[in-house]
Amino acid sequence: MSIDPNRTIDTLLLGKYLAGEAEPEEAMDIDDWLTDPRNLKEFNEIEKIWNSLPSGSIHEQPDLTDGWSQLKNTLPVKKQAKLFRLLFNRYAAASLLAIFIYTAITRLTHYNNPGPTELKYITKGSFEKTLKDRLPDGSEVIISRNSTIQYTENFNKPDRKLSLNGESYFNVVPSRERPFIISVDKLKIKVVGTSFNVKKTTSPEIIEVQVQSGLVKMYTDAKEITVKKGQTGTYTIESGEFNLKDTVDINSLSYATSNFSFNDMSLARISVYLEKAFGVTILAANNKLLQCRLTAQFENKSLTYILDVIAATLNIEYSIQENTVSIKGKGCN
Amino acid sequence: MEGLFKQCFHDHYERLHRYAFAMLKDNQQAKDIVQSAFVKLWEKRKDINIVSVGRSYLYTSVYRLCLNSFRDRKIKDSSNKYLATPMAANKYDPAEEREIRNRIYQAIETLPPRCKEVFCKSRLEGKKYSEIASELSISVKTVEVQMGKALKILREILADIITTLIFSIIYFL
Repeated sequence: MSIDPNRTIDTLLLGKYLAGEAEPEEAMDIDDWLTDPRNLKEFNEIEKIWNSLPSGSIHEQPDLTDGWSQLKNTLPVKKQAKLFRLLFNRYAAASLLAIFIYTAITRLTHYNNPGPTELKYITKGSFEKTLKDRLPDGSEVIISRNSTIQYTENFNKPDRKLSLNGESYFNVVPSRERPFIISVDKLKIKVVGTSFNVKKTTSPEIIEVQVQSGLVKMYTDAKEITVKKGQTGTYTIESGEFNLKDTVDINSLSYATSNFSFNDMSLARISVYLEKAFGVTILAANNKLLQCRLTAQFENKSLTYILDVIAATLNIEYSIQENTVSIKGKGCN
Repeated sequence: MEGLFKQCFHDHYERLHRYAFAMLKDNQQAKDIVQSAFVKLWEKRKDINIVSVGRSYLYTSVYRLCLNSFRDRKIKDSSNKYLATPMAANKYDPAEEREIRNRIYQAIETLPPRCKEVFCKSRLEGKKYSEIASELSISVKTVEVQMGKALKILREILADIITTLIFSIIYFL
């Protein structure tokens, strides 16, 4: 366990390590080097820069005690215990067989009436862009980036059920006979006919439903709430709690509706909404620019139209390169 | 025997996890792989001297297991892109965090062109060094050098906000 004196730890090697390219010997050298607190400080600083960029998750140190007890459970047991295991396994095998036979019988009896067997799942969504789609019943769905919806091929018969991961905007065709039900984790959202947005966020894990028209019911096995037009209902996954707010954040829905309403809003916050709606990255040449404030409404306008208005109002310049919008100017006081 | 093995686990578990995470960018998968490496070591405890070569056995196992997992992931990716490994959780960017992020992007902009290109491909697009090398028709060694250079420059430019960074990351965890 000695440090190779010919190998110096530099940013080249640290870069390889962080990028996941280090060979085992290099990783060992780095770990030896990190036993010195000064080196650890240097590593932490570089790691912080690395982590503060978007895309990719952050390393979380696992719990040593948990790790050990989990490992202990998977290690092969000692010989004395083996006999017991064997006996136990015999019983387990017998009961497993019994269960198997039972299910086989129930399956067979069920076969007389044509039951639902092996339905095909249809999945829609995209990492790169917002997707507009029509469901088999004619309802409109706008699936945000990085989100998916899933339903079976017999959607619409007899009811309309789908599951969601991420965020989507729905415009549901009314039908009293065929309820429209969305599942997100344990939560179910039931609608008759309405337009609304459903979004699940991680850390903290919250499911949010914003209703633009009509009426939506959010429920779990334990509780339920009704969310009306202009209201936002939230469900916290961990605690199972529901909350209701009497507002809707129009700007957060603009990826689907193309409507913006900025009311004395900072350019920093406006940028967040524009980035989400148009899938771009907005970079300001200096932080003073981000403090500029603006009041404006946009309905169904292009990104360049909106940027033109912002540029003219705040006396700034912008340029677009691929998916990056760069903003230049003096900034506001 | 078990005492030695437990000591070995205590000494290396966290470091191996960080190593596996760097390769996989997935905390849970990294845990599973480190656990498998220790199980392998336990099974071989009669043939291997844990004290002298246990450590290098573990690092090598983790490395191999990660490479295998990478290969499997690639196959899955090509068949069903959006259902494969969850990408970065769609983290909502609060306006307050934006200033720091903006500073980092500005710093990246100041990198020499080749250096910036290599850094972005690795860190932002998550590409392997070998992929970057073939895309840019340069050697893997050059990729390594450019990445090292990028980190060095970024650390110098961002020295003043590193303390804020540490704060904001703790805050967002």
